[in-house]
Amino acid sequence: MQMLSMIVFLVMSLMASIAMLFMSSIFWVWVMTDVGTLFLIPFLSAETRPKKSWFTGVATYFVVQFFGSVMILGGIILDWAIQATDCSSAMMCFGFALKLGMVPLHFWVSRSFVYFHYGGIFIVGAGQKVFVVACVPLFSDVPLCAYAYYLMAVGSMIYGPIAMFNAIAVKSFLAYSSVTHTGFLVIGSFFGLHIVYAYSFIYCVSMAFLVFMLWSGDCKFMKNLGSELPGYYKTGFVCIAMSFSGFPPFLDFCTKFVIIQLSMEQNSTITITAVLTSSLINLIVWVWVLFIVTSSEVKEPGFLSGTTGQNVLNMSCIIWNLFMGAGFSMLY
Amino acid sequence: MGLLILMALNCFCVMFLNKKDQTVAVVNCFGMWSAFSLMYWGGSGVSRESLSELFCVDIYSSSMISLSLWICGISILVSSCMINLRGVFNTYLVLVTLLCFLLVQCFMVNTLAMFYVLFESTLIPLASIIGIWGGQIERVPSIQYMAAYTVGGSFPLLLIFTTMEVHAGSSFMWFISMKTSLNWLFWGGCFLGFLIKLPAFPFHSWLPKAHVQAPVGGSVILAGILLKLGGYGITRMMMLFSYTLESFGILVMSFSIVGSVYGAFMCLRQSDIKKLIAYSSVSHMAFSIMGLFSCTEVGMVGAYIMLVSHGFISPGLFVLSGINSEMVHSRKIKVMSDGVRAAPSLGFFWLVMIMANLGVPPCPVIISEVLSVVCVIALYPWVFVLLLMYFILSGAYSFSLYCQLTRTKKKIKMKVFFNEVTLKDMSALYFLFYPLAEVLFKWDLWAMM
Repeated sequence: MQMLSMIVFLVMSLMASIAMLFMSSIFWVWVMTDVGTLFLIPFLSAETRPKKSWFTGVATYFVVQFFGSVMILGGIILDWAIQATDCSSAMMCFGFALKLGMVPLHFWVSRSFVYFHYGGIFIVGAGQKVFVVACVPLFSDVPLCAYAYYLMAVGSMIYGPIAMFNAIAVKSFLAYSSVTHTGFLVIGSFFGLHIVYAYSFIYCVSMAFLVFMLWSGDCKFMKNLGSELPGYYKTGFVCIAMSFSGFPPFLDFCTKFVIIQLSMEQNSTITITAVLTSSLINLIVWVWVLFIVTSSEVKEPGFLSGTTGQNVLNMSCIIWNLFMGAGFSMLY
Repeated sequence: MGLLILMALNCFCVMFLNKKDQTVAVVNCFGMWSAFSLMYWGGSGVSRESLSELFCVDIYSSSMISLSLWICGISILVSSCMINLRGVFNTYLVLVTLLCFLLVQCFMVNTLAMFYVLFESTLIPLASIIGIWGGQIERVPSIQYMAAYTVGGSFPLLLIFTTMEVHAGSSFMWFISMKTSLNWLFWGGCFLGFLIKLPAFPFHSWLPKAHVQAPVGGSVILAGILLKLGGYGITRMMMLFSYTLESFGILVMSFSIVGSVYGAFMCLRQSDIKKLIAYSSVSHMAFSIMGLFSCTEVGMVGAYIMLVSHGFISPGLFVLSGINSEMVHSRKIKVMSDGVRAAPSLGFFWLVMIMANLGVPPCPVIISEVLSVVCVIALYPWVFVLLLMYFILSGAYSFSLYCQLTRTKKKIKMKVFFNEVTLKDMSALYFLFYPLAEVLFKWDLWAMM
């Protein structure tokens, strides 16, 4: 029953988010975004064994999202009442940035994620963000907001991997990974929504694989990843880690290469520098994660040793990370 | 193209063999592929052959391809003693074969974009080999160091070929030579990644760390072929962008001369055999850099003689150090002397390899050193003083190494583990020494005419 309720609320949140994409008025965009967030609350609260921690995470998430919504609504009202475009745009920009969790408004991300279940981490960290990022181009004609988003995105791309290094808990690690990728998504939005949608799809699928594997092992701490991650998923996890490291010819390298190419066409030196710096730090972080995962003293089942479903998932993950990069490059 | 198809088919067939037979089968495959690769040695100098839309070979790439296949086969041969390999040995075979496959393609592709992708991809199997079979916990920082240095250093190259793709529509690097004067920032971006890979002074600090942590097979591949990727990359970039390179080349050559002296000096101070061989590689690669950046035909020939010869000698030293250190379970030179005393034939092999490393005739290294020295002195004769210092220091560390290995008297007798050395390790030495004779007699292969 609980699973059914989680699915129902999730579907309703998804529908509200999709509806948001087709709204032409900023007011209705705000309404749909908030409806989507509200429907997520029961989904995030669902726990098989209720304990205080779920309340802490969901409460933090709700308060922050509520504050962000207040700022957006305040901006809308201000624009409607006194046509103070700059001030209202700044308020709305602040609200959306808070909802996205971009640096320096990212403080809530790790605090919430640590108390979420893995499904919640995927939905909030990947699923919800890809819809909210679609609102960023609304402010592209306001220079103050455009620059603010740009700098926050650059900051997120560089700060995120540095914070990942210091993560003790797996969920905290995922939180900062989400911050990093949000930065990439926002940067992509400056080059066109098609880049955002393509990158969002790729990011969601990769995160889905990653989160599912971590959930199946009930991984809690980074130092225990090697022993907690199931053996039959290790090959897939290694592929994901190599992809996120930025090694060619894996998927993440190809997506970053496209961003660099687009930046070069527009002579955006800061973007190129930020992407390369972020990639370098990401490389070091994920090499560290790779080592933790592959160094396990526990003798465990290896490649293709799980059930059919597990093996299919593992192989799908490997194929996705190894070959979709080439496919994406050719399609683009 | 035929070589790649042959490799893929052979690997597919090997999969169905017994686990025990797979090692021998893979080693034999590497031998066969090396023989097949000799078909690509079409002609010397400027001869080229286009194999398909994606691949093109000339003498520089075909010599590197043959070297890759040979060295990877040797790497499996010396690692087949499973004492120092934990986990599933077949994983090692897969990683080495994959690495070789990537290397062969890297030396054959005709676009800079694909070359970059393959160049970076070779890091993955090597990092895996060091990570899985490395000796100590410090292998993680060494992998991070190596990866950060290599990937970070080649970011400018990524930007360069991206610019080529964006503005010119292609990064095809054969049959094109830009006649445009370019600034030093561009030259730095072009060559930084390759200079780090070689490694050139002052970007060499990752190499001793990587060698110390790598297993014997990993060190053989790293020293034997992966460092040569840098030299090959420089050659290809020079095909594209060498107009007015001379002034930048003088700067790089200056650093290399200092680097050769520095490397030799550091060799004198080492007590760990692997670090000593690593710093010796830094010294020798400096001569390749001098030859390449002299922008002369003589320099190019000297550089490739060094690259290929070093590709056999340095792995030979690592194989010997692996054999010796397995016998006494230590990499300290003074402790290894117990192994040499217990097996006097090792002393002979050490002598031969040290002399080859030093460049004693008839080893082809002497030809390379002479040609490189000629190129450098032609620019500025007083550089000979520094080169003389290098020759003295290299003689000193070689002599010191041999003396420590064969002459040290210890009061405490160490236990010697004869059973941890197999015939395959010794046969690897023969397979590494024999090709040097081939290089000696065909040293003018890389000449333009």
